[in-house]
Amino acid sequence: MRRGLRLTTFLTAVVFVAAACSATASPTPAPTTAPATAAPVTAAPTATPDACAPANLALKAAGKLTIGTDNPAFPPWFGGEPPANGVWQVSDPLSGLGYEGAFAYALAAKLGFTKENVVWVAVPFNNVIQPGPKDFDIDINQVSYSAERAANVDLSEGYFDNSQAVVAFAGSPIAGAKSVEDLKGYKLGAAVGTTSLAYIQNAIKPTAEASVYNTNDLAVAGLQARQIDGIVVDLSTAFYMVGAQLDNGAIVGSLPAAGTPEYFSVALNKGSTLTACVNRAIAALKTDGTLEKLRVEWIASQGNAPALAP
Amino acid sequence: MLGAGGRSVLIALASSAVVFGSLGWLVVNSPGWPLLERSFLDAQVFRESWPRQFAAIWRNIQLFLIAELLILPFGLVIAILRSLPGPVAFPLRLLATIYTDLFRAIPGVLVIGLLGFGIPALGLPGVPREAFFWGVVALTLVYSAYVAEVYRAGIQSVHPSQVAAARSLGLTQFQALRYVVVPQAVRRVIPPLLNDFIGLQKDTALVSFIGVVEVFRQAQIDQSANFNFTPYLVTALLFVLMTIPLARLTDWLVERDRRRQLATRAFG
Repeated sequence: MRRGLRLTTFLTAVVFVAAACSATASPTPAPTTAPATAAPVTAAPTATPDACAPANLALKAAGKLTIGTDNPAFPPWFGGEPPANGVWQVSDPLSGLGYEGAFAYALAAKLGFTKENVVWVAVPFNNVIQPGPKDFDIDINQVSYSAERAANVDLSEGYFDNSQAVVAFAGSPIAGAKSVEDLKGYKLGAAVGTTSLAYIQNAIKPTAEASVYNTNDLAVAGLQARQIDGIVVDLSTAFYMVGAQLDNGAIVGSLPAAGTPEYFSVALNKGSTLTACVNRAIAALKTDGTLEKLRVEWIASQGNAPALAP
Repeated sequence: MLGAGGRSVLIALASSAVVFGSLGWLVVNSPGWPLLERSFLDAQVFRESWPRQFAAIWRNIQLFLIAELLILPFGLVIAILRSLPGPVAFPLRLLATIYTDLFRAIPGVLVIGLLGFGIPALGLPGVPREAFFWGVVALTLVYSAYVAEVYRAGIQSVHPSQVAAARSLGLTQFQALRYVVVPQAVRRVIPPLLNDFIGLQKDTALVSFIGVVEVFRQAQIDQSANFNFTPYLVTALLFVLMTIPLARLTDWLVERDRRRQLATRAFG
């Protein structure tokens, strides 16, 4: 009887495993719930003249524009000193300072929201680009456009042209690199899920396996521990790393675009009715020179020493 | 041969087929299934991610094998220090106690970050910088504290009369420990030691925090490249395949020990 019981358990397990296998192995005929491709992007605002009026928009909170970004929010993208007892660290998005801080309020104004009707919510970068419903109406967090990302979230027209750069210690061997080819022999690091990591893997293809960190800050810690020779990161963030996070850091150089030039998009819920309105507002901010003014004020001016709030 | 036992096997098989079959049917036909299948069971992503993760898990295996080889003797030394009798050994007992208290209290990922980023950043000459090295050191420090407590439980489970008997036979304190107490203690705690070993295997994933591309980090990279959670399932499968044989071995050891004890009791 004992043996019988044990055999039973074993056979039950076999049946179970077999069932599980057939379940996973079943031919998966790609249930093509086609990623609702960009249908609303082109169609929305023409129907009624004020489809983009705050009252007609489907918002997280009625009458309020809920904007997401990562916490801490870093210069030069955000500025201002966060209140001591608040949730925000390093910078205060509510200040409207920094490129993205200022852009967010300019965009909100174009969409018809006053400063008081803008609500900020902290959303980790990697949550923004995942599929699924979001906690924000729009997210402004240096999200580079990519076709893969656009399958999961709506990505607006670009509001900032980005390029990648390499950060290292001044005087270290890698600091003398003159080309992408020269970087191949060094140990590089980047944050997981970023276009910077994709750049290492697809364009630089280094001989030593790249180190991959949870965030850019941890990549800086890895550089400080001299476990990597250089960090690949957005150029503007590179200025911040060199100016505020590293002693004796240097930008080895900005990297040429791999394939199509990179730009930052506002991220929205997939199929959001807001997307077309945001695109229209960004186009307006481009034409009236606001974006260029912001770039000169917050990005071009920073040189080697970004102004970090004390 | 196939009497009542054989029939109950057949009945169990049939009943299992019905139960699991209908459960499976229910799951596959539930409204969210296509979405779940696309997100978690993408065959294409599985095929792409599997070889990459299979290569990456070698890092985890190196981590826990090297660490375990260090943990087993180190933990025993700590346990013995904590079990030393007499007032002279007080500072050693105190040190060992502080050690086990500290390293069981501090989260493993914090120790890894503290050592892995912190010590190399000091730039001391001759101190290794590799993240992998500090990952092994951190895991060893943390798990030695747990393992020391397991050993100590084993040491304390050996009846004091055995030490008294050994001493009365003329063995020194050290000899009594070496030949009488420790062999019995270690044998008794093999199952919980294996338990900690399984814990260690899983915690190797924490070393990704300092940039090491081990299996979990590789899964994250694949996940964020495809926005599909199948790579995480691959990781889970790899860990299951790695730990289940150990779990069965532990069960077997426990069972063998139980049978031996029953046998001695029957004859004694």
